[in-house]
Amino acid sequence: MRQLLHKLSTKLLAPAAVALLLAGTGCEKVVNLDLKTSTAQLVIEANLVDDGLPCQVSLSMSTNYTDTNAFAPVSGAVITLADNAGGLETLRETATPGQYVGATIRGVSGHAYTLRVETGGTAYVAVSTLPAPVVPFEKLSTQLSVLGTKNIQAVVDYTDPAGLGNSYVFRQYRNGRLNNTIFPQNDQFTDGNHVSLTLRTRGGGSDDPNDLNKLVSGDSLRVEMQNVDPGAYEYFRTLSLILTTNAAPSTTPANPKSNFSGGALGYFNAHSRRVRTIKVP
Amino acid sequence: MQKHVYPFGLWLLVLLWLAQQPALAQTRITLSGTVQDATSGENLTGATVRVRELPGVGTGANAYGFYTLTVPAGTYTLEASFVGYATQTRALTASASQRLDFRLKPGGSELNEVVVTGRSTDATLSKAQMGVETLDLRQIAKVPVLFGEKDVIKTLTLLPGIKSAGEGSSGFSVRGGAVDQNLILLDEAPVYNASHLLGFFSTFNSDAIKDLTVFKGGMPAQYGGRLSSVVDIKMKDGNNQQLHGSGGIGLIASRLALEGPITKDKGSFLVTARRTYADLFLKLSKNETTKNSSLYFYDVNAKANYVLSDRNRLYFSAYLGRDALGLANTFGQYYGNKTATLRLNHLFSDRVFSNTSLIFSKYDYEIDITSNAQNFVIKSKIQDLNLKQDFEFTPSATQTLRFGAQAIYHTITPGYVTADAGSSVNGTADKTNYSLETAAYVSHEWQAAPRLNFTTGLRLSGFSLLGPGTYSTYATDGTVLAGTTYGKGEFLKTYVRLEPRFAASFQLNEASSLKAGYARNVQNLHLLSNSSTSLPTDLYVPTTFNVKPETSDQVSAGYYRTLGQDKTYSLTVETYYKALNNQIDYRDGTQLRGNFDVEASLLYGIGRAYGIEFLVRKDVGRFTGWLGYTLSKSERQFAEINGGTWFNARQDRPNDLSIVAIYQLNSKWSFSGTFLASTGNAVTYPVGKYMVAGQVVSLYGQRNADRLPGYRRLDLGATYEKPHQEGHRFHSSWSFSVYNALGRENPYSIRFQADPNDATRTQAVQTALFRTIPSATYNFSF
Repeated sequence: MRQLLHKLSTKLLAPAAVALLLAGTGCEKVVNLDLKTSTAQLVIEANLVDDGLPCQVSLSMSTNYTDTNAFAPVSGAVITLADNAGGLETLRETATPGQYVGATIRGVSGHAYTLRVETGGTAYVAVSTLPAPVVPFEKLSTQLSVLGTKNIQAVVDYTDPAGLGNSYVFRQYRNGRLNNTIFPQNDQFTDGNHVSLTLRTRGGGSDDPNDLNKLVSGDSLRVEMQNVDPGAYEYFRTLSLILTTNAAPSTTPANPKSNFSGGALGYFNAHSRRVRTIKVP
Repeated sequence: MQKHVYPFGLWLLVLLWLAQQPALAQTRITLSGTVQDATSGENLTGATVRVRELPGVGTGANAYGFYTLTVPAGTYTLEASFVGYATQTRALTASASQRLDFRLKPGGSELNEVVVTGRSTDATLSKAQMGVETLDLRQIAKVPVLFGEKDVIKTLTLLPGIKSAGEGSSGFSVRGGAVDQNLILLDEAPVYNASHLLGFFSTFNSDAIKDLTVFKGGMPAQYGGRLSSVVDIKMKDGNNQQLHGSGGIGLIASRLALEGPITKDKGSFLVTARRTYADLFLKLSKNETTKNSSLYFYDVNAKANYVLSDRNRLYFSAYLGRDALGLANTFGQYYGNKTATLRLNHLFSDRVFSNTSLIFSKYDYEIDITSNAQNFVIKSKIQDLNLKQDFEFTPSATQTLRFGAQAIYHTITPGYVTADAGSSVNGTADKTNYSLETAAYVSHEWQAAPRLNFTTGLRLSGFSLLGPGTYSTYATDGTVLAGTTYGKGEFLKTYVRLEPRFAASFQLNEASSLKAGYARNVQNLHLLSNSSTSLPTDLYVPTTFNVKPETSDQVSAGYYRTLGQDKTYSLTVETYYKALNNQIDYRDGTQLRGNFDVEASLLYGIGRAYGIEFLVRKDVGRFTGWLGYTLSKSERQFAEINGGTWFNARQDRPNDLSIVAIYQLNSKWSFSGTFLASTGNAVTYPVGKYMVAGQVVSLYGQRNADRLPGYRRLDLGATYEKPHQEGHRFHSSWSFSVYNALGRENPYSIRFQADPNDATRTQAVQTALFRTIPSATYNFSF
């Protein structure tokens, strides 16, 4: 609901409705700004999924905003993964620099995992629990957007178990390509209920037929449902906040709340993954 | 609390004693009465009444047009004057107190034909009050505005020290304060959300407004409750001589007003209404969704007054405004203010004026959502019941004593959800909170010597959080430590604060004076908004166990002088330093929307603001207007933000220039222009970027360390008044305006995104809300 409200009231109604309906003279242009720079910071992206595969960790560095999108991988880090069943392993770096993979520890519903990354003389630690029970992904369907008859939106259905604290992240793929919009959802307002959630993507206004924010009849639509713990939810919620609100002069942006200690950017997410694919009717 | 009350009471006694002294000294008489417009009967607030034979002896009519002057018995010429009106004199030999009412004839339209006095520049020079500006609606009517919709709040931001929160926003910042630190009063009733259509228009229909006074600092002790400013907006009383109507048809809205006598000379009424009609165009759309959407606002102002007797006059004013934003049958947002004020003026004697006000104010919003079986309603409101008693005692020509008390009962309901049975959304608890805000004040205006004036005041303010309710305590990271539930009628927590106010002026010569002042202000209602645009869902929270009263201490000094022949120009230079305490901000990543335990997300810190303001103003002649320039700084410090170092407040805009010019070419045509130039708001830009979750994400550093590009805008206006036909009551005029005549794309926001043409790069995209917007309005009156 928070996402729904947020999108409807700021994104659709606030500047857009008034500016477009009344004035229609608003305009955009690319500007050159004198942006500040900062020293490169470590970014950790770590996932452990209940899909029978080992833990995957990616380490890279941030870069200045005006540079090209080349993010230096971080090699030679010492990464260990422990679970609350006594398991402990060291991840090995793969042939791709900055990519690390585990060995025997697997993602199991109900287990808590501790990931420790040591690089450049600093250690960063995060704990993530793979939620139990895993909430089934009941249904994937589509509907026409209420804002116009042309846009098709994905709708996901699930039943939230009673008791607060269940958190989810949805990701959407159009013809195999990942949409940038992240859909974090928790049960603060929907505890114990059947939920039918519309995935409202960030854009969709362009005429480009290949726009990932669009869906057209005949598309292959894949949606991934993750059960995540509250720490990971908080990361994706705050990440989503800076990704979605930077169009309006609203909230002062801040870096997402990482679950790593030590000041690293990024997250460690032990989660379930349930996937549904349909052909858009 | 006891230790505060004692000196307060003592102080009051001393003042009363002081005030009594001159009256006892010799045989004195009191001349009193009202100053009103001869054609409409409107009270002329601020009109000057002087005794020609006694230089320096004069007074200003109060908000109800009442004046009182105590002088030795003798033969005098009494002179009443007001800007835009012909001065009136009355010769009299007075051996006993008497009542003298003045009815001044407007001289505004027949320029140069009658002697029209300037703004009471003499009073401005001599009075100790500083940081105050008045806008007369007749004066600002010709200032060009967005969509041709006259807007007092937008015009207000053209004064130095007052800055608009942003393009298309009704919010404003006074001397570096936050948007919620302004007390906006409409006939004494606080207006909690002064914006229509998300801020593109203010809630005030200028047809209903007489004048507006803004205190930027050093507000007199009768005002309190907000840190930065008081914007005191007075509605017209209505014509008590003749029935008149007026109206206008504009690009956005149409207006209609009717005013006339209830009983000639005794009572009058005024009703004004306005509604937008953008939604009528929506109906023309072929798109079903657009067709079934709504987007409109309306507002109604009504006022009536009646002279019950020589000593009693009753006023009733009311306001109702509503906005609706609806999207087909899926989303509806409705919000608005309602206010009502019942006032009784009573003269205890010709030297003691009293006003009793009973005030109601309510702001509420409702959001209806129907989507995928998520059917629910969110409601929120803030409501005040306010009883206020003010006394004005004028013991002698050199002293005025004001004292009074006030009690406001606040009911605040933060947004709560009511869901349909079967909806996937659950209802949430109604966490309505109750509080009582009380104040007592005394303020003493004293002309100690012909050139030396003092205003000394003290305000004692209390704030009590009342039961029932559940309140939590929080750990430093915002997690709830404990919650306690309290019963009805319990006083949960009371804060008492003393607010001293002091101002002094020394008149250097005929044409110039120096002033200095100090004021403390306390604020107990806090608006939580983490956005620069004012949203209808912005939330007020009261002072609680965790949220402490905000305070500000401001010292200011100024230089005032009149320039040119006949004192046609006035120059004001004021400088200030303000220290702010218990300021509120949010933890990073806080989402206020749908956040029903917002206290957990709050941070508390301090602030400082300082600056210098220059204003050159010309209020008489064919050419009128002003030039204002402000150089200022506004900073905040929070332990949890930017490592505890000082950072720029969002509203920090060091340079701010505004020029307003109106030229009356002849009786038909007048032209106007405004020019604004300012530094951009303090914002947070990325300092880097990184790859996460399959996309490039901005890396942020220090908060508000960057600035939007500068802002510049030129607006032009022209008014054509159809020559008045003899014997006809019907007048009409056309107003034309061009907003942003230079077509400059002023930055509204900047977003950072992937370059759509080059996947290896990112870019900054600036959004401008408006390029050039021409508009025309047809106005009529009869």
